[in-house]
Amino acid sequence: MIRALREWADDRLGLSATIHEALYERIPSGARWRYITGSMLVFAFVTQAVTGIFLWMAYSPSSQTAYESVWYIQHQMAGGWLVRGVHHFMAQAMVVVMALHMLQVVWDGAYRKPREVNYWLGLVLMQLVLGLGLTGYLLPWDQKGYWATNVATNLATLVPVVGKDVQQLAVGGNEYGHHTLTRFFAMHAGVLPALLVIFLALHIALFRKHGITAKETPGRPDDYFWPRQVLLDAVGCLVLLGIVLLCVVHFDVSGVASGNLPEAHKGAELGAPADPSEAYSAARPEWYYLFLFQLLKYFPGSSEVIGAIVLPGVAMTILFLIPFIGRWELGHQFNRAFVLLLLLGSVVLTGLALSEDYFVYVAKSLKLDETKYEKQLAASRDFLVAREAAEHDAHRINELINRREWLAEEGELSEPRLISKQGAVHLLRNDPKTRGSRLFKQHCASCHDYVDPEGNRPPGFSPLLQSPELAGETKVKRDDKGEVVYPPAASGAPNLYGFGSRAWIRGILNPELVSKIEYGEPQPSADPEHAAEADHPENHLRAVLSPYYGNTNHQAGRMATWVKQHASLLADDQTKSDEDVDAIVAALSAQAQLRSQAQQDSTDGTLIARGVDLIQQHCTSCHRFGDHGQLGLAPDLTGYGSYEWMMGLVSDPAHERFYGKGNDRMPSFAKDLAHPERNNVSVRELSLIVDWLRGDYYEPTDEQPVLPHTPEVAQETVILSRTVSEPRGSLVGAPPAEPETQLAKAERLFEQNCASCHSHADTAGNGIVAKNPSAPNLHGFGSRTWALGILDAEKVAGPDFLGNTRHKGGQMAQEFVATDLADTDDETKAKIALIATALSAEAALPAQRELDKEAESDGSLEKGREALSESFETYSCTDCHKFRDAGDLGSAPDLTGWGSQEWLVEFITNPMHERFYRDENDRMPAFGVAGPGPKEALLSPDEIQLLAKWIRGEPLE
Amino acid sequence: MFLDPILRRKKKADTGEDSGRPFRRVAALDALPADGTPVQVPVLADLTDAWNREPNQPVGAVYLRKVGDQVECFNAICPHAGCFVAYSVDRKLFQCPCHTSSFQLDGTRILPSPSPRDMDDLKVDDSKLKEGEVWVQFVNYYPGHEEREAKP
Repeated sequence: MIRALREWADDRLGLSATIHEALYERIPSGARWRYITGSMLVFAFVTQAVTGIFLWMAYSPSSQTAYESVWYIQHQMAGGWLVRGVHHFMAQAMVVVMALHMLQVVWDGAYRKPREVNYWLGLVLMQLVLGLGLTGYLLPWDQKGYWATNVATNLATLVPVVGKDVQQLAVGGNEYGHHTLTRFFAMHAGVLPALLVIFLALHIALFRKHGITAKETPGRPDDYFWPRQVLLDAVGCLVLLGIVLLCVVHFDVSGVASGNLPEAHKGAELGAPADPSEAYSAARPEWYYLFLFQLLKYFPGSSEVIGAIVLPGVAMTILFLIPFIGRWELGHQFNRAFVLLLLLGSVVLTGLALSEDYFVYVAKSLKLDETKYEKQLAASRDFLVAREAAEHDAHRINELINRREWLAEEGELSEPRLISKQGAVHLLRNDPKTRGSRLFKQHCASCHDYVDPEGNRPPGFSPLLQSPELAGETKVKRDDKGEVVYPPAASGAPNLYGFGSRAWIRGILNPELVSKIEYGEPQPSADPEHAAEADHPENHLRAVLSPYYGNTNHQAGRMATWVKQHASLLADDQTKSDEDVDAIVAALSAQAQLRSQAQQDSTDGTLIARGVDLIQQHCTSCHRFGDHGQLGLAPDLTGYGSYEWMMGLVSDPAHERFYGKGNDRMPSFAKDLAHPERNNVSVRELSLIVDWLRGDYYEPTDEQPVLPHTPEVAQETVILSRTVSEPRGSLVGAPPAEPETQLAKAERLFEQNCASCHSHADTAGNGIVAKNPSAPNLHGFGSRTWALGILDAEKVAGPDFLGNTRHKGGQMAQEFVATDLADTDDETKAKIALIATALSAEAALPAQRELDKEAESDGSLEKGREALSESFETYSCTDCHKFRDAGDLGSAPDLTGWGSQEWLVEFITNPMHERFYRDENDRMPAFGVAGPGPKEALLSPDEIQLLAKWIRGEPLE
Repeated sequence: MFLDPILRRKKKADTGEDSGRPFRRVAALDALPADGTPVQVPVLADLTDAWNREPNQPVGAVYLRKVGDQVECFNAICPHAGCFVAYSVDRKLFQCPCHTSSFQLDGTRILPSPSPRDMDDLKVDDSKLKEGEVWVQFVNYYPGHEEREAKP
């Protein structure tokens, strides 16, 4: 039956004749191992064709999908990694076998007449195989393939005349993109394999025509191809396949046996997705091109073309000429030597390239003197660091693609989110964990430290360094004692490790830490030349360590002063965890909504509620906190440290919600949302930094993993963070707004700068009422009524006068007015009235002009002035205050010119001035004092003049 | 179709579209360290990849370095074979990770060097500099030659 079928087919197809011809080729002197390489190459090619077609079915060539489809093959498709692995390693095996095949052909002189043409066909096949390797390397579109192939196509431009056009045609444009992939793929899967099939067919046909170039040994019997040579070939092919399979599983046989092969041992490596904007410092070609890569290092300058084009060209030419050279016996020996040298040379160059990259290990195993090879070691270390970073990115992208989000409503993890249409590179570019720290280093680390309490910094981070003063170009300045002199102010901003956490906030409320500054011991320069010179500035760079305000203008600012003044309130007893300071810390830190503290925040509800209350009491005369306090003097504490707050602060710290004019040198990184190209850092990148600082990034080990904020959310958040009051838009077509009048401006200035503590309202409450009235009501300040009020035992400590300030319990209120002036007889009352008259006359208010004139003429003014120096029961006014010639400055504000324009202006400008409160000043900012450093004053001189006039009720034009 | 990239380039050159390369803003002047340490910044422009065009994408990177009141600007691409040059803070050198070309801070190569020329300096707009902004004329050059030639 079978026989009948065979005969039927044979009659029509002539199969048995073909098979007979194929199998019964005569081999003089019999089958040999050395003849197997040709069959192995055919076998390898068939394997590549089969695995390649399967890969083709799953591959999608475009810069948005190439990496993604290969990732899918590698990690998701059944057997995908195996097929890809075999394709990858068989390609390399093919190159090795091809080299052996060529060596065998030349060694045995199989290129000689009449086989010259077949030899040339072989050379063409070799070029095709190398071309397949080159084009295939790019297709996964990972960083490695992208950058290595970039170098290869750049080198193509070195070819004279046509080079640049060739490069353009290969790349499909000026830059790498979709068409680079479509073209490379068409070459790799279409043109080159088709040519290879054609040339292979010719090669084999000619081989059969001329027969094998046998190595004849007399007495060794002839064989046919079948069965002995076929057996040898089959063994060769199986061994080849076995080796390739071992490579595919990274020689992890036990892993395969246990059915538990780790991901890293599954087939070919896949790097991070190609990113043209991301430098890749470990770019190396596939190993069989390393010898060419290494060769380039030896041709300096414009001789590069020799290494890249001329030498390979010469080698190819000689290979081409081998049949001619081999006509003479000497020529044949030359050919043998040449091919051997070529292969040996390639092996040596490859070895050199590898040993340079891994020199760190080479030096260690050879026990080389490391000081002599500093440069090589440094280059090798750089390479290893870059390779590690590349591996890290490759691992991370896999985590990111498989990311799962915690669905709070369902109470479970989502499906893996896989890749959006923007591609895998988008995932990595927007990963705070890998990109955030790098961006922080780039944009923030020149001022901000990032160091944990144990003194550890992330890889690549270093402390801030301060350079010494110079006394010459490369010489440090030394003082009389020979100590190196450093410039007085080191720059630097708070350490942002754990920003917003309880530990961080506890630190800034610690009187010792808040303006602490320390210097590290300078380290000798890494450059031995500089290290040898004791006075070289490189040897005297010292680390500047300041956890908080240590190096900023805020060091002596209101916050630091307040913290020091309230040391007793803020004193932290480590053994207790429910003190006021604990409550404040917990409440403020809760605003940040850090994931790392979510547990604590949810269990400490009562403590936090108490802290909120305390913050509203103690902090809102400067800070806004929810509906308490107001903006203008200090950063908003509403949402302090939250994503929204931080995005607002980092994008524009000089915004009124944050530091306003008090901002010390921190750049507005993304102020202009309408023109993103004008910003120093994009909002997207700021979001990465903020997410990294706050720990808002995907971590597969988290129980409730989160995804970072998207660029769109980041943009919206910044807009939201800046919305502090009513919208500022104007109606289209509406008449332009009237320019602000002086009166309106004065009221606005008062509201923005003073009304947090001071009211300016009459007894009925008309006017501006402070949100949190704690300082004197300034309505009618300087008038007789006001002066009488502060001298009234009942009123002095009331809300309109010394109200909620520390002066409430001070000498003036408690020891003088409340005792000396209380329960007085009519005589004393008259004296108080006289004092008020005289004091008020100092102010020379426009509204009191007539009254003051009257007082002058009836002599009550003179009497009042005298009364200021007269003693009551225990004190006189001038015991503490200076008034005209009586009394001294120092213990209380000067009463000379009290309430006058000049007095008010000076007071507002600087209440800490020796003429006023000095150290006794309670929280009132020095509105007119600039600095320290480039910090502007809160109010300009003109604005202070205007405010003073307005408070005094002067007419404003 | 196959020759499209070349035809496209020729057409562009003929119509003169290629002549004026725009200056692009890359950084604010005060973002550069005063001590002359180079800073790597991306160059943003519309990125065209065949049928895709996206605004404000990184199309390359430059190193900026403040020297007195001037700013030096170098293309971050190595003039040897087109790798991405790194800056080594420890050694105060530009170093190419591929074929070990290294360059001094002012972009001159350290001989012997695989690189045929110094790093490619790019023009910085003086008038913008006075306004406190760094605008550079971003050009990629063909690597591998002593004379530099702009890529289209």
